Amino acid sequence: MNKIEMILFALLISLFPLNGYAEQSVEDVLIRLEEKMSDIKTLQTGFVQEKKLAIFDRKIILKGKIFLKKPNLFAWHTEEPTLYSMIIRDDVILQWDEDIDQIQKVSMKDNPAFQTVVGQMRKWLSGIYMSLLEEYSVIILGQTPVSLKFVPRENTMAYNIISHVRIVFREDERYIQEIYIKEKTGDSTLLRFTDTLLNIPVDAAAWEVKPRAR
Amino acid sequence: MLDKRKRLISVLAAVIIVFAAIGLRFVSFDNNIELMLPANQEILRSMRFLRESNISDKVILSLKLKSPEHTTHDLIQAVEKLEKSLNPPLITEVISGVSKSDLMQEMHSFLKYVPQLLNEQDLSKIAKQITNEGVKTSLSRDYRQLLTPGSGFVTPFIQSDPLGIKTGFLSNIQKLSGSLGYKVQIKDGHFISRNGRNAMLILKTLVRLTDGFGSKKLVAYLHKQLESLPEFISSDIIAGHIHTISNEDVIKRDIRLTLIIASVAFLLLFLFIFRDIRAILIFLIPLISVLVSINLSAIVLGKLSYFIIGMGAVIAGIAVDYGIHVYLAVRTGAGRSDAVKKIIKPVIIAALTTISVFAAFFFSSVQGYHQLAFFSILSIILCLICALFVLPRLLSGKHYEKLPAMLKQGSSMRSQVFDRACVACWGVIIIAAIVLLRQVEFNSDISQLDGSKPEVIQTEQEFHNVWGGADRPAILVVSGENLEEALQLNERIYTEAVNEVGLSSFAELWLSNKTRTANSARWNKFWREGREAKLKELLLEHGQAYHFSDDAFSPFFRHLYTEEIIENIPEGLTFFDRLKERFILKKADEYQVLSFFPDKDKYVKALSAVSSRYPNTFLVSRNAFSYMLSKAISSEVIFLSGIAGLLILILTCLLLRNIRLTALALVPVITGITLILGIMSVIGLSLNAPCVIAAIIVIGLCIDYGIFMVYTCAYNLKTGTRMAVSLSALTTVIGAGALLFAMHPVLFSIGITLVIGVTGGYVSALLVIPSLHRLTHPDPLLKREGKGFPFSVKRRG
Repeated sequence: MNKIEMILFALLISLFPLNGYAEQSVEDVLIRLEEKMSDIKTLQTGFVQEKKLAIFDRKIILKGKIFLKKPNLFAWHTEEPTLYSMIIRDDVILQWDEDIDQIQKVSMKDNPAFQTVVGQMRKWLSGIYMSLLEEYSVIILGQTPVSLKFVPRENTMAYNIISHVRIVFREDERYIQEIYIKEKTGDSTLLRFTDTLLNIPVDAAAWEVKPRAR
Repeated sequence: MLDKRKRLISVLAAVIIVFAAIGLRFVSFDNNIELMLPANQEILRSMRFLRESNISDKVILSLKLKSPEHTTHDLIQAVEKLEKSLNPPLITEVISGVSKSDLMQEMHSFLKYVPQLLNEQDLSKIAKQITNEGVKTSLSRDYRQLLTPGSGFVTPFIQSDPLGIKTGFLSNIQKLSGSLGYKVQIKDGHFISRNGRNAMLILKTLVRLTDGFGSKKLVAYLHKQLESLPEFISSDIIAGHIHTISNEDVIKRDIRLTLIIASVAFLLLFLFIFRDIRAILIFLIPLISVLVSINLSAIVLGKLSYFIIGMGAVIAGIAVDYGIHVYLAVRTGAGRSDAVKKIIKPVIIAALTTISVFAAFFFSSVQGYHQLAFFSILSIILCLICALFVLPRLLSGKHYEKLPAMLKQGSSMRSQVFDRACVACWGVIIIAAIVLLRQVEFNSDISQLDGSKPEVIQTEQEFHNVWGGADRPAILVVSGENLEEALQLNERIYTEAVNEVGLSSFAELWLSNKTRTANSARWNKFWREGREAKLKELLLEHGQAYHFSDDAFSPFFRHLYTEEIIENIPEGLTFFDRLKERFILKKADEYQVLSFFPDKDKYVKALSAVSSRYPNTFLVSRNAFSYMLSKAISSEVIFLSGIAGLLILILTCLLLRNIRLTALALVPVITGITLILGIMSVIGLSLNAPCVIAAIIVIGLCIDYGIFMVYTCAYNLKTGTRMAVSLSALTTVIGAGALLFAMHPVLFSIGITLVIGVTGGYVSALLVIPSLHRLTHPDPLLKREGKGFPFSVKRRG
């Protein structure tokens, strides 16, 4: 084996893993992930969210819990820095926070801005990523664990707002490990999930919005 | 010499038929339903509004993914390709969606106008927010929204509106955009159904709904362009133009079919009964008369309604009567043309009573009825002239064999038992029909007169299942000489009506220049009174708790004071342009601002009350329209029936010169009309405007049968009258019966009414009049034979 042949051989060897990646198209990966996440009936998970927004004078770290029950229940409870609860049942939002200390009922139909925010949140947490292909182009960043980068397509609502979204999945690919959203303004959000439990009966209290004390 | 004359007449008739047939190609037909509506101001205004507005002239294309293997993305690609292929002159604009990214930016741009749109009450509410509690509440809400993962979408809105003053306008935009009534979602800037399997394109065209030729061209063009769609996509066209074409096709097919059925039936009838090839002439006379009348009517009246021409078979069935009488007279007169003289008077008077009925339609305010009257009277006169002056010459000179036995005069002498039984049966039937007629309903829904093919209706049903929009809203129209005037009036009415009716009004989003100028001055004054400084201070103070930066809300303060007031409406905002198209109509000499509301009785009544206080406003509601139409047609019917009834009564009285005989002659009329109402109710059909026209014609036909039969009984005539009446009724029933094969509801309604009415009238004339006559006057007027008999018909045998 001469020098040129050795270089060619080395190149060939080094290409094998890449070929392995290329065999798995984005669609294949998304379908696989959707299939693994499709049997999720309930979800409860802790989260830590780091927000770096220009509107705030510091990085805001939010801690709390998310509950999800298919098909129509979603709960977002935060413990730090403020106590806040939000339950979404179909198009109705019930919320409470310790500052105002009042339970508010909001229809998403009457609040398009909030509707958009909730829509985005549901989109990233639901695991139905195939449908996102119409709004985003997807790049596979890594396979173990699976890491995907979503870049908004032109003419979509996200295009003017979001630079990209990066999602890292758990090793078993049954749920998300972290979501990173980078905005075009430079603002960013990093959401990490901890102690995720799947298909465990959710305590009824999780779907209640009521005043809480620290 | 005689043969020469006959040949000349035959050649002349052939030439007329050929020219009349050629002339048909140049006659303009109109299927505009307005022709058939009463000239009620409110009805015409609603119809004109719908015709002139661009609401009904739009075309919608609905594309559907047939194969589950293909995605919304494939569908969108096909939509984009199709969109590029749709071009002027037939398609002037294609709207396939709206870019959501633009929408967010546009909404943000639009919000700078909000200070001009807030009134004094709104400012009072804002004043209450500029307090420690108010600012804290707003900041808490903002903070919560900013902490969700999708906060990037709301950050610009929060920075430029920390108190959420403008949020209401975002919902208004959403609400008004949704008032288009379709369940759509925007994907990649395209209208996509909720299930992601259908796409919608809205096309604008200059082709009017009433333009049959243009509609055909447009639909053919669309079909051609749709052929280029991939195999996995099916398409439907939803447009009023489809109804125009379908109605035209259906009516043309019906006219063709009914004329063929009637012609064949007439021919067979005459040849079978008379067993004489010359009997064809009886059939040819009404045919020539109707053909010539169509041409002459078109020259005099211009465009002719298809509905009226559809009556051609009926008119032929009526007009053929005169030929029958003449033919029978010639045959009973052993082929002498002078035998016709004996029946000239009764035939003329029969024609006059029929003409009087049609003449009554000239008193109607319905333009289509005028056409019907003109066309029918012309046909009858032409037919009468041919029957009396041409037919005898063509029939004369031949020796005729005796008529078949079935044509012979039946015995009019029956037992009293038979007469009583006959009258009793008639009485029971009439009473039963009177009881039933109370259940009959008048259906004024104009859509029932739409004869579009079932597949057109089914396609629309499927479209509404996917996209919604089946419940069309009612419209409040506010007019003004200029846009400013119309907007001012629109605001006043909105303020007055909004609490009573859930109006979808342009006033929720945009106001007149006058109001905006006043609002703007008030807004600037409001903030200059120290509130700007106070809000800054409060935001700084309470913002710290939520870690808002010092300049977090600087966009709000930078654009706090309102800029220049624009003259009319904002330009360059796509979403606003779409809303403007829906809510504002520019006419030649005025502007109309539209508001939409649910078409429910209570709302229509409430808004009618408001509208009645403002002269430049009116409502367009299907429910109200039905009510107005029902009212207008009812009064029209009463009026026309009154005139027709009066004319018939006068003519009958003049002819019979006897109250008892006049009453007897009316038996077929009473029977015909009562049975129409009773049987319609039994078979579950409701009355409509075409039925009413047909019912009035029934009156004219039945009185003829009555008069002839009364004379036959009163003078015990043996002139073949009974036979002539039978054949007259039979030919009319054949003409009308042919309409029962019509697909178009208007022609079918006319057919069923005529068949029921004429059959009932004829049977009662044949059976009940003789019985009633014998029971009420056992001694016939034999002794007065020849006296007071205006027909100068002598008793035979």
